[in-house]
Amino acid sequence: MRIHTLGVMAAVLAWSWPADAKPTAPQAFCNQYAESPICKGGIPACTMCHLASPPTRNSFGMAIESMLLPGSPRPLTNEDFLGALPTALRGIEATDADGDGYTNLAEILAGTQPGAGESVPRPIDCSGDLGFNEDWSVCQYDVRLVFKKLHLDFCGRSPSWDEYQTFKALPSAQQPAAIHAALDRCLDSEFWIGQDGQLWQLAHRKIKPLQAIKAGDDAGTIPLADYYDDYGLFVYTQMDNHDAREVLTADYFITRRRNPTSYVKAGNNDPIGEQGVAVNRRAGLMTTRWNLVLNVMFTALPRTAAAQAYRSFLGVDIGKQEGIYSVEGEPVDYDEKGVGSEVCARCHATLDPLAYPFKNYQGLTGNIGSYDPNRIQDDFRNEGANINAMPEAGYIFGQPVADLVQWARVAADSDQFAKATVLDYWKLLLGHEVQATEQEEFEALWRDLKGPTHNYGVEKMLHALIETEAYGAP
Amino acid sequence: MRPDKYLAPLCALAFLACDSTDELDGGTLPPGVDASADAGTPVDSGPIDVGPVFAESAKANLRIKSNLRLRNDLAQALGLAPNEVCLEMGQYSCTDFVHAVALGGVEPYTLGLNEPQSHTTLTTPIAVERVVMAACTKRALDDLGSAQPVIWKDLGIAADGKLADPGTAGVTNSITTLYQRGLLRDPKAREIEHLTQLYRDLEADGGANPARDWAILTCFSVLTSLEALFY
Repeated sequence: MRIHTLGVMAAVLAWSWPADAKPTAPQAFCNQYAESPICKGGIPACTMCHLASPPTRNSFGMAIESMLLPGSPRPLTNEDFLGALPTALRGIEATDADGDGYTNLAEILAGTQPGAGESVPRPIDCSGDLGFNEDWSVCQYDVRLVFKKLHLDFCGRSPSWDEYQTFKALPSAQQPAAIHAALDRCLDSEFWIGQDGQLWQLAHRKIKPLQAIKAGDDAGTIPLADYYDDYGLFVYTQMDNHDAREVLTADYFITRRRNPTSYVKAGNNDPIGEQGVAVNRRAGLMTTRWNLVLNVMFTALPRTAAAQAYRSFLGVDIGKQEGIYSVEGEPVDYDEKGVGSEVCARCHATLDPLAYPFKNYQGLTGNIGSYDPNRIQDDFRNEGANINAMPEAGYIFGQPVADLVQWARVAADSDQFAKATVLDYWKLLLGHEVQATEQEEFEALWRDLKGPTHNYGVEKMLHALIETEAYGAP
Repeated sequence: MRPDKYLAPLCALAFLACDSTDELDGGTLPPGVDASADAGTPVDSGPIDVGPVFAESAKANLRIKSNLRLRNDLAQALGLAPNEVCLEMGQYSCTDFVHAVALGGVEPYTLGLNEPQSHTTLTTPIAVERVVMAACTKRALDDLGSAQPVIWKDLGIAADGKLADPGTAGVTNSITTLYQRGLLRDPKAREIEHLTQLYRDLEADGGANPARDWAILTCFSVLTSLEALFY
């Protein structure tokens, strides 16, 4: 069973993008169209130019391809591709690749997909006679809607009839304060912070629990690690305006108390689930026993652990060619997995140096869930002739880091972290990715999260989020 | 066909004044929506008063209440404890366990479903109706045998199980209470008229307990409306 799992993981890691997909293309696109809402929220997904996944192109991708050095032999080198891309993009600006009536340039500037006919600019026109609607202000922020909606989103129930009547009877000048007071109450509710509440739901895809190997309370049949510690730490960083970055940088653990639920930093006498990493080597959720067991397992170079952290906390998925920052001379391929071949190197030139700082953290080898500076030479000496030369220093976002603690610091202070944090809540509360018309409000939220306005306090950010048109206009 | 293919455009309708389907039919429907589809048996009530043109939401970003929200709202509307709303075989929570995933919940610990399904599933409508019917049945049966009913009060049920007079204040007040607790608004005159007509239709069918059945089905029809299920 475990061998099978490892085999699958190895296959996934060894898999690489086809020769005619260009991981650097999204960034190059944004270099040209920095003002596009698509680029303000990050970089375009593969589906900007491809169908579900590369290499098959959509109509926009095909239009670009036809303008890229016509007559030159394929596949183009990365250098040729990047050199020709700006001209190719300009060459198709005035055409309409998907035939939806909007030029490619108009769609790029509006933040819609020029290769998808169903994605079109849709300005919301609130001028003129909109008609009659006694229940909602359909074209502007509606406090009645927000009052109802926030109760459902954060408290898990509608307001009662009496609560709603009381709210509606308030003078309009007092209603905003009543909305924020209601939000504060809901942010302390079991539905929000309790076990399996909304914050736990946000954490699921980051923690990826598996009951069969859970230790501690509600233990499974093969207890290896207790992910309740991970949930506790995650929720703590998201509540009461604690510093959300500590999800990556915390050197402490959390004790959860119940009835009602509360989370406090664990003292010396509080039980934490056999956490074995020394305090000075801790990096929040990345170095919990659970994360190391699940994502490092038996690997010398924990690529899965690095990729999972990159995806979960920074919103960039190397598997989708996102967050590519190739490091010169990489990948060295210390563990001799064949990642040096051209097609693999495109991603592994980013992934391998991203993963080096994890190399001394034990997964299911040695002293499980600990930091061991001799881990490679003691437990992986047969993994390759140069395996002992693998450094602990690595790179994240093209920036060198000495170890995982520094990796976490750079990550936590990055724009990507702030964007990913806000996007988690955006999708939870609005149910969709950021739309073109919402980019401005989204950008203000993540910039304020980083700045003195919210100072990485998630609850402050949520108070601002419910004031947006995106949230409050029907 | 996925239910959300037609549910999603219809979501926009929840931002109209949702007092009746025939009024909606007379208004503006989103492009591609067949007004006659899944609309039930038309009510033969003469010419339709369409009323003023309703302003529609351009965004129409509505979301279905997920499993726990549905449970909590039913519990609140019907004065039930959350664990009374719906139990399969009298033991297993419909919303928290048996139909959790179909109702938009997750099951991360054993199934690896870390996020809700992005769309409603084929069984979502069935599960929703199952849950609402269970809750409505519980409320009606409890109320009709209680000295302190929550919703169904002073209906004037005769020994033969029929309403003595469906036009009494007790009937109207019960409908009003249901709307206030379930939809946070008062019913419109047309809605009261439709629901009292529902009673007459049920009684005409010749069932043994038309008043009880009417209470259950009135509750079911209101709390399975788009207005009740989406937000």
